[in-house]
Amino acid sequence: MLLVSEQDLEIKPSDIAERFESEALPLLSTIYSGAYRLTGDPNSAEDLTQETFLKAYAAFDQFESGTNIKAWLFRIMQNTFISQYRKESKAPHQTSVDELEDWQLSALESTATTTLPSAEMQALRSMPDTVIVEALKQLPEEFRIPVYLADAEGFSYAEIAEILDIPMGTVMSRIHRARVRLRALLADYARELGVLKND
Amino acid sequence: MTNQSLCSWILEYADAYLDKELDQASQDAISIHIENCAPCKSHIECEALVKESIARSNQSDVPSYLEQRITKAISQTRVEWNGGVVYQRTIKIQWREGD
Repeated sequence: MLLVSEQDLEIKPSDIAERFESEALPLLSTIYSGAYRLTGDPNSAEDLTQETFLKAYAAFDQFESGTNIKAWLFRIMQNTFISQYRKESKAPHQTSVDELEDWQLSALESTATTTLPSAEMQALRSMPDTVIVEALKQLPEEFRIPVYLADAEGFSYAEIAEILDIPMGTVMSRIHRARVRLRALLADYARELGVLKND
Repeated sequence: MTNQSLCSWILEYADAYLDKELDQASQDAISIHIENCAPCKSHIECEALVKESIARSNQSDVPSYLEQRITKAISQTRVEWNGGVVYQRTIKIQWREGD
């Protein structure tokens, strides 16, 4: 006869600490890269990383083992960043990015498609990393973060929606806009560097 | 072979296609279309290169002292997880001879 019963297992705090060490801490460098992207400077990135891990540690009893810890940590980091670091930033914050820029987007899209594709591809392939990082920095945060989470961290749109607390349709349109803008920015750089000729 | 409405649709969903976020039927429709439409194909290839370059540029080395700094901060943190004890509900299955 198969007996099925439920029981409460007591988990010692030392078990949680141990689990934190083996599940969360290995993601330190991933979280640091993310923090660097968000803050744009190494010192703030260190502080944001530390704060993220301390908050995660304090809440680790609520983390369901076996679920996506990377997304969970990124969500904590995102919230910490919004509540703290963004306040300190003096940069003006754009709010209605989604509605504002349709005309700019279509202008960019037509630029992107009028360049000779083979030349553009060649230019994109030989683009130094520093140029790409520079171009990424020029994107507004609303575009930069979703595209970074998708391309550099490999998160799905559903995970990004969860991390940033925005609808999935918004994730999709921001990623689309981010890549179109980035492509136009990279084409500009390529022209400046003389890799791509203006036609 | 170009199809204006399909091409403009692809222009809009190229990114979701590259990220494999569309339903299977749409993914397949785009894959088939770009084999026969050079402008759409090169558009998608350029977008793919942008995506790759973003992934490639994600290299910021974590300072070696940071892990130690964080583990030290953690060890100095007093955490009250449910007053110190956490319970996890588990299901126990046993096989008993007889009955």
